[in-house]
Amino acid sequence: MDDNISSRLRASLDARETPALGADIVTGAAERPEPHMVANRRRAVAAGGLTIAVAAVTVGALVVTLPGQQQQAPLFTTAGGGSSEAATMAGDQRMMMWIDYEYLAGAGLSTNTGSGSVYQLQRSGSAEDVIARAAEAYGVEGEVVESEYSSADYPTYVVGPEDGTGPSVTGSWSGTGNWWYNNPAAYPQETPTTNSAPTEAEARTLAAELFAATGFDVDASDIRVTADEWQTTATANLVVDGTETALDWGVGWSTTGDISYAYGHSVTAVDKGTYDTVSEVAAIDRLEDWRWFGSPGPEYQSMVLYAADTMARGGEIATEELPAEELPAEELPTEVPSSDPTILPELPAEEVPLPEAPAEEVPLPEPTPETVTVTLEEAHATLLLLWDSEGNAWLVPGFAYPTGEGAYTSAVSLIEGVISLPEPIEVEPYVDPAV
Amino acid sequence: MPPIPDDSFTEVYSRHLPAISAYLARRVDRQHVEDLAADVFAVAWRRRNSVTEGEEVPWLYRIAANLVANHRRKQAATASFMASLRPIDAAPAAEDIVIADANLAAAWKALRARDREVLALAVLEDLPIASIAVILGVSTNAVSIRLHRARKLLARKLAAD
Repeated sequence: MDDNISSRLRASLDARETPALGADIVTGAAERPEPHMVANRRRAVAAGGLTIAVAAVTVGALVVTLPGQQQQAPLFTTAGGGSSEAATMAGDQRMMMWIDYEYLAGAGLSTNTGSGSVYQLQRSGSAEDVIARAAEAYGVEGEVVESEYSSADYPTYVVGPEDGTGPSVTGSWSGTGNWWYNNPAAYPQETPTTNSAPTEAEARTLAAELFAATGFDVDASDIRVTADEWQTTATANLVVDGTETALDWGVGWSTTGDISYAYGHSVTAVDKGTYDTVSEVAAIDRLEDWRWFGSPGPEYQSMVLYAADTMARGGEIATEELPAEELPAEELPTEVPSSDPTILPELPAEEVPLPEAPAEEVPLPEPTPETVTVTLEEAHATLLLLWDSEGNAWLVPGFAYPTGEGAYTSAVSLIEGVISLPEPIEVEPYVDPAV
Repeated sequence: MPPIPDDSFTEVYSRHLPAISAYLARRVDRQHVEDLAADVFAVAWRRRNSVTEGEEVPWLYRIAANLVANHRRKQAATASFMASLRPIDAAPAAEDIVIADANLAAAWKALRARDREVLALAVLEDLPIASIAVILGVSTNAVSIRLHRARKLLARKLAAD
């Protein structure tokens, strides 16, 4: 962008007069209550917030065993690290004042223990075969080559251009062997006035065919279709032992009628044995400990929960935004052109008199988050999706508890010792140690 | 990292008040600027020990961006449940463009919120890529890519009009 456009932007966007604010805005910070987020985001905090917190901490494995329990090596250690973006998002969450939920066991919950199966989602096939098959299904021509963004931890392969100049299929041979198709040309630049996307019935049929072509057999009646003014989306979830899990496949059509994106996995659910589980009542104590959180299937899930699960894997939140279009390294600018590299205008000292430092420290008001008590009357035994410290996916027994307004919270129900948990860490509420 | 002493908080952060005020003024109605600015520093005060030394500026912008997005969600929440679940959008809105530059306004409107935000941070806030990366919570490489693409899109739009 040349200097002319920059100047036009500055002239136009900077036209608003900025109100002159007094120094008390800063000096009064300690006395001002922290702002609260809007009520609907409570779901992100209650369920998704816990998962986001998981992504922010470093892992220190802690094997928890009960006295007298037969010593058995844990199946796996749950994930604790995440991408820098996930950690940043977790930091954002910790910036804000959250609502504390206190969960109580209602009379409708059982105290009976039980048992359940654990499944490991093992990658099946080879990276080249999986990605080549997806490329064929979505009409992308070319050879499977290693992506320029491939690394030892995340080996990545691609068919098609990586510079956003055409459709491509990219796959990561880690975790669930997930792949994704992207067609940059399928996204309309203007607000669409017509819609050539398939109807709901057409989308089910087409999606069933596309999923089958990439190794995922599902009945068209089990495919969910959603649509808005920008796109029509069809998704279906992996079913294991009669339970719909959180792992899904999807395909989206833009209003042009073209497939704009699609994604899937290449896994086989391997039964790793049956283990004892705690009761519905006992598992409630785990709802306040993020280490026991796992993602349920769509029946017990909301859009926010899916976003939180994606963050725990270190991925980007699925949003309405377009997938990132990568440009060749040689096209990337090395510096943002700016007529003035100054970060901030300096505040003339004489305009804002700074208050004198207090002779004694003023004690800070202790944060007092709002506490909401929720009595849980129902629990649904289901399979929860967990990620281990190696980035692999597992399905473990757990409970999904309805919390009202169509939301759920969930906790793993395996007895202690079957899986290894990261070291506990205090996330919320923050308490100033100086107080 | 060593925490900022409580008595230095005002000295360190007061100098950033005008920039944060200007950032907010470009994104929300004037009547809400003072309240949001006060919220920014209230959050900063309580989280002052968590910021990496040297990253106070982008950290403040990030707090401000979250609060702008929350402010917009509050205003939209009663009208639309889906609006409250939208991703963080703190980009300058299309209507922020002075109507006199109609071509630029149309081109700006055609950009995605993510593109508007990265352009605003680079052009209006004059922030370096490293700071923008901290604000947006992405890598510097991702910022470079987004900025390059946003510039190309805006230039293409202007050339087409």
